[in-house]
Amino acid sequence: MAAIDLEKMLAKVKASQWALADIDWDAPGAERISEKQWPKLKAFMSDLMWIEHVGARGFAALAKKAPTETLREIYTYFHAEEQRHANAEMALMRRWGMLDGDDLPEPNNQLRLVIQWLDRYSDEMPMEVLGSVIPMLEIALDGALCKFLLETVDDPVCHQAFELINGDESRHLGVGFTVLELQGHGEFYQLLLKTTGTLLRPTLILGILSYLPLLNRMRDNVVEMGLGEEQLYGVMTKFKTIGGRTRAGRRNPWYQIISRHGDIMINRNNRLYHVPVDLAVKATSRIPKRWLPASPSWVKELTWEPVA
Amino acid sequence: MNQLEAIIVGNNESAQKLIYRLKKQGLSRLLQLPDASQIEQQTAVWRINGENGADLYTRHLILTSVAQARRLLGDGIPNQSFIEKEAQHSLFSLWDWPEALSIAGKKVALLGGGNWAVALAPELIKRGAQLKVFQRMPVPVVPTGLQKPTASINYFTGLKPSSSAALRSLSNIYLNYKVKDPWIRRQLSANQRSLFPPTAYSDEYYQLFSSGKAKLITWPVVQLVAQGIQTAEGLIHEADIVVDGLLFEHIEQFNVSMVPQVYLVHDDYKQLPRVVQPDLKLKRQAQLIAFQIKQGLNSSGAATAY
Repeated sequence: MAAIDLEKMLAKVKASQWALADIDWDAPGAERISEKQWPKLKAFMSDLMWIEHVGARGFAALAKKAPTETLREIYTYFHAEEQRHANAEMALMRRWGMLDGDDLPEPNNQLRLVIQWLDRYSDEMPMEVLGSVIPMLEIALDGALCKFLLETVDDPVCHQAFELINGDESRHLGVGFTVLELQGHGEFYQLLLKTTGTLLRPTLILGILSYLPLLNRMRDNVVEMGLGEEQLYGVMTKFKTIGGRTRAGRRNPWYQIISRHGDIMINRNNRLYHVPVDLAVKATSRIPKRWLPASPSWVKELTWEPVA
Repeated sequence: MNQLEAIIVGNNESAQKLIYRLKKQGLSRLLQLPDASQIEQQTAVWRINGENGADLYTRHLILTSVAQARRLLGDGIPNQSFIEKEAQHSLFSLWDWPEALSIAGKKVALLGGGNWAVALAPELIKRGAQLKVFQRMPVPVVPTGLQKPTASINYFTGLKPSSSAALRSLSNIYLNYKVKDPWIRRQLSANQRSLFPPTAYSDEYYQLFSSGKAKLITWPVVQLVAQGIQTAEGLIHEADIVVDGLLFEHIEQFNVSMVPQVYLVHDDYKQLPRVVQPDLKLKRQAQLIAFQIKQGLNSSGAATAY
């Protein structure tokens, strides 16, 4: 992917804003969700909404670390856009009768651990870490989850909302891969030393320990919903292909780490990886809710209501 | 006596924007002073003592920072109206709140989290507004007790402690003390990498958010709509009154008689000012009302040569 002009991208982002009020959430079509589909779709949408929200917090941290004013502003918009996606997905859930009153859907334990980590440590993380992980999550979200949702759900309002969401996500991907490449410039030994230093940070190790079970848990959830495992793994290899198109991208140690992790993750025969991580999923799922810390206040900003 | 049409005191971003807008309108003969040592209200003009000690006279005086206004005009500014209705000269300031404009119980949106907002937000709350502050970039805020010491340091040494790292660090300590919620604290914390905005002084600003009296919105503002403010997280924040403290960032039509501007967005009003988004679709329109300061530069003809 050729590097994009960030100034032009910022102008494009500003010109492409939309609001929840642009969509008629009461339009006909909600009845097209079948009874059989409903419970699985509820779990899927809840996870999707929380991933968007977690992504939003990631962009908020990136905005603090951005080296230029343009990139800072872009990330500030992306933070808001991910929040908008989560709000829109919550509005869809409400339309389909999947919310208990006006309450937020309950995040699973793995998500709660990642939310806690993001809240406490993400602002301290070097830009390279989140700047490389986020394109991977975005590509999985955009290429597999959203596509799968549109293939299986026949509601026109869902299609209208995801057309807008996908438009935003493609811009997020464009910027994400450009930044990934930008971070591959410089002396290679310096990049390597910096990455090693970051990897040894206890806070990052904690982050990895909460991130890996979340990925496996999400994989199990989407597979249960009916998405083929190969389809999910197919989009993960896209990260490797797109991120590795340029020399600068390939020189970014974080690209190498994440794409190699993707290789390991899609290899179900790699028991050395999957057995302990699947065990971690089971272990973290058993943590009683009351043992987990209270959700941070930014979580409460989610809403399905178009007018506040 | 040489009299200028307008003198803009200050060299900050607000001043630059103001000058840019005025020049765009063909008003080129303006004077900008980085700072002034003294100003005085005379019968029909403002007298300003410039940096070189010479007296300058102007009909319209525009101060572009709250800290500066407090230093030049005294402590009692927020509750004091500087302009009699019949006066022929104007000090454009946010404190000249139109008496007729009652905001008790109204939903008020204050755009901008800079010095203007820090000074204005507590005043709006005191007048009973349901306030949302739409902050773009936070400024460091410290208690008003530090204002005189910093002014003294400035006077004796020429240093500008209001933009110093020490005062910003003090502001962080003050913020940690006043605001317990980590997320709100994070959003109010001035970014050390930013362009070092000068420190604002207030005993009440942080408390507004920690006590829940005002709500802090940090999403980017997209546009003004008939119901209020559309922000990038996809919501429309309802507002009866929109106070623009961003100095026309979102407004294409500039009117110098308003700093900042006050808009009433309501069914009863007819016209909403044009905003930057060209494809704005207004279902309802609203009318701009503003500080009724006499004789804005737009209507006063050519500026007097200096």
